[in-house]
Amino acid sequence: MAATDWRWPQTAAEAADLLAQPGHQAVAGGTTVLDLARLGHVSGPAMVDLSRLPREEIRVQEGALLLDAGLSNTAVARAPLVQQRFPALSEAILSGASGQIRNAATLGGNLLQALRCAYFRDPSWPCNRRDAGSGCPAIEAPLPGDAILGITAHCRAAHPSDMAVALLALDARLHGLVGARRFEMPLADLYPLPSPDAGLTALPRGALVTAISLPLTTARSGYEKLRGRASYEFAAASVAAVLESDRGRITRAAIAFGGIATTPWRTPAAEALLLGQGYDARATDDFLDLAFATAAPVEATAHKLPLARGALHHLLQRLTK
Amino acid sequence: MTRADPPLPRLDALEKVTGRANYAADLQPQGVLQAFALRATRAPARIRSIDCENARAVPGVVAVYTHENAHETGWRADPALDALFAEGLGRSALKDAASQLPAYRPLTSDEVMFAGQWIAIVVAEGIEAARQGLAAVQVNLEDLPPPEPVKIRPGPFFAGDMQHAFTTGHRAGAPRHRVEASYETPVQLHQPLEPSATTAVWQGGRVILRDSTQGTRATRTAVAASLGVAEENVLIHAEYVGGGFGAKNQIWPHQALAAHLSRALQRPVRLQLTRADLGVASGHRSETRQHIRLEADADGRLALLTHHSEIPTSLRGGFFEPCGLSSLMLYAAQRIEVRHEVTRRAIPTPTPFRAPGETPGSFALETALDELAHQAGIDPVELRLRNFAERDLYHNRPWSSNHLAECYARGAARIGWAGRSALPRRHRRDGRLVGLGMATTAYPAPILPASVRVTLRGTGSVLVETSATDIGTGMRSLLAQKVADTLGISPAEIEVQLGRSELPDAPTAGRSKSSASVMPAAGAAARALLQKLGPEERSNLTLAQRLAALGQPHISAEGHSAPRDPQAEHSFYSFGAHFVEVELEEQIGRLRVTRVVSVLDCGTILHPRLAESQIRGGVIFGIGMALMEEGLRHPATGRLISDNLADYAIPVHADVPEIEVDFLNIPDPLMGEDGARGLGEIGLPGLAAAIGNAVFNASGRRIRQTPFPLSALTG
Repeated sequence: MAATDWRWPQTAAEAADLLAQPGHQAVAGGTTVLDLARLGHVSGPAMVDLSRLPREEIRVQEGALLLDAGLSNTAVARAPLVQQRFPALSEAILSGASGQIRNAATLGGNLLQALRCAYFRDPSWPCNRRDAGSGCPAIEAPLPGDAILGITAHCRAAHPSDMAVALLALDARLHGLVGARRFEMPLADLYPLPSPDAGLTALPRGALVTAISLPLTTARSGYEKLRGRASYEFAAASVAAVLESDRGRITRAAIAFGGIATTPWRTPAAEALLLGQGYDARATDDFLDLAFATAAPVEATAHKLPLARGALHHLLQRLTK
Repeated sequence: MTRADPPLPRLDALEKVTGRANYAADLQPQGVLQAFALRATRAPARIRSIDCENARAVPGVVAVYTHENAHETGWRADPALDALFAEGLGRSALKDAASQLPAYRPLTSDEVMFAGQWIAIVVAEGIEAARQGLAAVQVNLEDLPPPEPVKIRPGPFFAGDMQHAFTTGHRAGAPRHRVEASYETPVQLHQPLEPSATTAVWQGGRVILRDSTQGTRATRTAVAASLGVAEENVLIHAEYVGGGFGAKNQIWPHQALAAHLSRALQRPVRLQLTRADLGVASGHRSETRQHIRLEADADGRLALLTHHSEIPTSLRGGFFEPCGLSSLMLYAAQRIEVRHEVTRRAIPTPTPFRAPGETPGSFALETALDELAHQAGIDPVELRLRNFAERDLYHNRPWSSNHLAECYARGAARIGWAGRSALPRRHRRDGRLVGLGMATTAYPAPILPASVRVTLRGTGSVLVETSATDIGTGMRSLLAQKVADTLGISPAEIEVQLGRSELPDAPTAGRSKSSASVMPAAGAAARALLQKLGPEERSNLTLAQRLAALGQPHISAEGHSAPRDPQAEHSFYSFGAHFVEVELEEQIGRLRVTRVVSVLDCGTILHPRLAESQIRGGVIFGIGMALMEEGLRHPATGRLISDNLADYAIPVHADVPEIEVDFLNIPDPLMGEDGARGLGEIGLPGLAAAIGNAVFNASGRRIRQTPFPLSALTG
């Protein structure tokens, strides 16, 4: 890793000022940025270390749960309020990475983490997402972890975050600063489909994410993650579901998938099919048929569609038991 | 023999868990330079140009070597050298035109034989400068057409004929049941915890290599030949080795290269393989495609067993996976046909990997036997008993000792085999399908000559010395226990010095032979020491007192073990049976190995704790093989994609169930004074098949490839 200027802002405003300058890279838990720098990814000239920013406690404000972006993944997953009211979020976080990484990694860092594609990570492969226009080896040699939804000629890597999948289903919003200006956006707008014109996220340039908010809900929720080994592995397919019902009829369904798409994936039109339905396998299959209508598996990813379908059936059986 | 009871814990456990054990790359001698390699990204190709000017200009970079200037360090390709290094293993079995081709060594020509080949070495003051230097090398490759695939039918390899068809003398009735199927296993990487590394320091006219190798003597011979210096001027020190599994069995270029670079630059040089280097610069297990045909009579007696393997090797190397070895001798078929076809491809040279041949071979054969058992309606254990080979049919020799039938019986009893349904899909637990499967494992038990020196000091402490390595097997602890028991003293009085090439000769730790070869020498050395101390006049004298009575400050004795007589009248194998329980949630393709019972017949167990640890390790390898391990290659460039531990998954704790290891512990009367056979590999063969057979029993899903595809477990 090239020697870089390391900055330790003490306040969010200071951090936002620094990040507004060109070439300033935020580093929070350091579980991705530092790995990539060591592997030869270009970084710098300056690292803006967010570890000294003051952190707000988890609290409820204006009908929403407010989570400081600097909280560790573990702190959020273990918070009683999160475990009781947003089990999908707690389950998603705890299914990801390892205990050590979850202790170090922050909420904001998790949302903004880089791709985990083998071609992206090692700079001696071409990769459009790392070096625009260099090409994508996955077109010729798809990887078993690749996405089957939202793939473009630019990139087919699955989005790695478990937590973002749960947050998407929970209608999360992001709050932050660009320089001195506050901004707010739905998480649903955070991840663009891969294209030469889009970055990894749609955050404004130089933005600092300061908080994530979740509208309070009484809905049931859960997260199911399937993968090739029992732990410490990205999802082959995962799903977060948030459900409300009245006398056995679904009144609200938010269902987001992970591990199978280039972004955390929701299909509101398919969710609408579930409204008024009971919890039965046929309704779930109808939802899945529409949600996956544009899926484009290849031989290497042929397992993903049946896994994702199975994951939702499995999760709904658990949530409606 | 008496034995320390309870058995010693691992002697070096504390050093290892506290980080005090120094591995090859831990040594940082004064002024050490860091060397790293640049890997070619595609092959076959020719280096049109390689521009190192910018790399040399990076502050801290001391030197950059490519095929254009590496000869300045004395680096050269030479068929005589190839024979001593990893490339040479197996080449004589191939006997094809390519085996007469020029020698292969990286950095000696503009040819790129495989993607990942080292094409430049950057030597720098620090790791960061070396990495920057690597990034600054400009390479221009010209792609070459892939070589015409030529099928080679190799001759004898690993003491087995690779093309052999024979009628055994066993008789089966008319064939009533047939299984004919193909099985595939992928590229697998050894992934030792400690990546290979060599630190070279020249002192006077001698070089000391701090190395991570399974064999210090073989490394010394190869490195000395490469340097063109006498063997006594090369010292190989590998006191701690963080796993090898075969990746450190042969000698690879970096071991000699570190010494060449250090000699040329007159500075200590540390050459460390990165995780990504391991799969291309220290070997791998190649992919295999195997075809099995079994024919059996109405009673399940095998009339025919054919095992045909298609495997690759590199363009210039020799090693190939001898999948059919066990099929030559493990079951008493009326007729046995084993064939191997090797194709040269632009891949790195494969190398032995824990139970080479047997591991992929047993997956195919033991799965096929399960298929036959199901088809014939015969219990899989019973089918194996009916085809039990009373003697080694291939070599036509009796077994030195074979209690396989008892392994089956004990394993079956322990896992509750009697409660297994012969038909699939009959058992559920909490909604999950449950199944039981089993397979046989077997591995040869060779012995090579070894020497050990034992020195009694005036303090009464005893120094035990040998060049043998402890690659995590517990050799250090075994030696201390053996010498302590023979001398009748406490293991606390013993100091073991091993893994140095200047110490008494011992074979490379591989092929499950190290303990069986070294322990008899240790016993002989201890007895020779007692003899030198003279007759015991008063029984209550300590060793120190007896030494003092001789008036000597210290006294040494060497012990030697003999190689096995090549005309030996017996075949020496270890045997065992794995029994596995799995649970499968079909809806989500979630497969869990919930129980493993492994019953082994390895002769006397010298140290139960270490022996169980070895078998558990093998079983975990088998779980990895069955469920997740897969080295992916890019089809166009041939480059290894999953060359790191993020993309090459190995089991984590949550994948590993309780593993019950049960040793028969019946001494092999023909295995020297201890009656112990090796057990380094035998935990692995058969395990993946046993898991697959359990999946079939659970679900009716027959899986003929590893890792088991998720798509085969769901939908």
